[in-house]
Amino acid sequence: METNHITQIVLNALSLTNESRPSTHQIPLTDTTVLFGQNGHLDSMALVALLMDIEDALQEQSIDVSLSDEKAMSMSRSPFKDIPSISQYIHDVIAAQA
Amino acid sequence: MRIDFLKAKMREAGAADAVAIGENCISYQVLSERLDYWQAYLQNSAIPAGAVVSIKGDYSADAIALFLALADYKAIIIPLSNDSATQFDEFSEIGQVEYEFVAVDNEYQLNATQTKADHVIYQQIRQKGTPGLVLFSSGSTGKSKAIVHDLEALLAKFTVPRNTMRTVLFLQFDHIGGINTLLYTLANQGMAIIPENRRPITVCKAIETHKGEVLPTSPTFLNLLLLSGAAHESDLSTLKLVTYGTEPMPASTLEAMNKHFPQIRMLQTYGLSEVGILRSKSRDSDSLWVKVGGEDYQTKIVDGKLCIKSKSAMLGYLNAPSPFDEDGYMNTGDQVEQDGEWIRILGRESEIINVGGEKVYPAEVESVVLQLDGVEDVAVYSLKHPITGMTVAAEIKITTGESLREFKVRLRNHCAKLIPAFKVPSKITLIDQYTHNARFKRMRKRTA
Repeated sequence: METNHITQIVLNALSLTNESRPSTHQIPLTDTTVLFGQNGHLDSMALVALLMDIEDALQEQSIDVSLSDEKAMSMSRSPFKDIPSISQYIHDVIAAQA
Repeated sequence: MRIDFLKAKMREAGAADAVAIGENCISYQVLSERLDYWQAYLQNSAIPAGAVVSIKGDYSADAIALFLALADYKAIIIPLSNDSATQFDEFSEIGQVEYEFVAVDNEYQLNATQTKADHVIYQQIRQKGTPGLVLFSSGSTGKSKAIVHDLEALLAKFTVPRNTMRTVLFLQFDHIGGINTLLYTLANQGMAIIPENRRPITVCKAIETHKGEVLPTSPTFLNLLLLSGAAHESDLSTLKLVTYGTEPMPASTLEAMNKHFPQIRMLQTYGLSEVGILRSKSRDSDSLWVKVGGEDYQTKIVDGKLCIKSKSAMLGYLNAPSPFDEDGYMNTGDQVEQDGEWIRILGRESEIINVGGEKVYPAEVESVVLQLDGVEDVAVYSLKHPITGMTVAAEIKITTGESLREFKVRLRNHCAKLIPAFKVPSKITLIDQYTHNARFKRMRKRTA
């Protein structure tokens, strides 16, 4: 799957997150926005929900993957830091499964 | 024999209606005659006293008469209703069934299985010379356990006279609640109303037709009753009391019941197949606080969990170790909150979802989800997750035709106003089927 396409799925999932958040807590959809980690917009609960939303969106395209296995948690550079890193991580997970 | 007491009560009631199945009413006299028939049948059969005998089939005059005749004959009875038809073989094997009565076109056929029932608990019952009863737990929180009761001891509490009521027999006689309602009704010369099925409209029509006064049921069924509109299409003015148990009541369902049916008293009951049904008192019709106990029961709370000691407790499990402590208390596994003599049942310890160290009770989340328009049914359960240990997942049946994405937004915005973020379901699955089992209890066990 193209990285662009994956990034679009991540952006869609983030806009779903935004739709359930008050206007004061909207997440800017830019490459430099920190999602998870120090000064991140998401706490662990919100990250779990986001990953599940992305999994649901991938499943709609018949791609069945788990984005939150032990491996992701122990990577030295968190794959959940920002939109580019999440997109790259999803790309790698799908590629590894293919 | 306590069954003699029951027989005397039944004969005395004569032409009064004992059982209504669909439109058909059976009088106490006819039921007594069927009991005579089955007693004679057993006397002339090859079945020895103390034999393990199953009755496969749903309620009928004959099923009830046969049950009582077997009790009088001091058999060990395993009632198997069609609710558990898929587990008949498993249950028959665990229960070491020696003889089985199978309902075929309203007639019972007797089969001998060539099994020898030699379980140590069965030997105890035979030595005491009392009838036995084996019930299976529903397996909603694990593997089904075979629970053996001394039926004579179970019957004891029904010798105290109580109100004569027309009661819906909602649960089958392979469930402690069904047995309890049946024996209570017969012992007090009341009428047992057996709906042809447990669809809300059928149950409501049965109440209307037979002027039902009491409906013992589960919160899940009450929720369906409200949503289906069946209650408004039927005349339920005779209904005085609704009792609910078997699972925690969502506050939203209780509130809706009180709003729609202010004349009906809502009473929470508390029972377990292992210890029987406790007498209970709700603080108010709209309260989830309850006092449980009664003459034959003692309770204590250990580590927040309710423990019960009962005079009519089971003798033991056939396929699991004894759950009683040295003082005879059984830990129910139900986590409760306490306020003096009142308790509030939060849910089963095994169903608690631990999200990053925070406890979530499925019933509380279900209650919030059920408040949303268009939500027909929901089951909340735990999903393992490497980030938070566990996370809250929900299977939801909706009637709005929304997409998963549309529904998620609505659900999350609703939940955000009412519960902390860690309780909001992160995994949401829209489903087509209801989440409850044949006994109208939500099934929350999922294979992750």
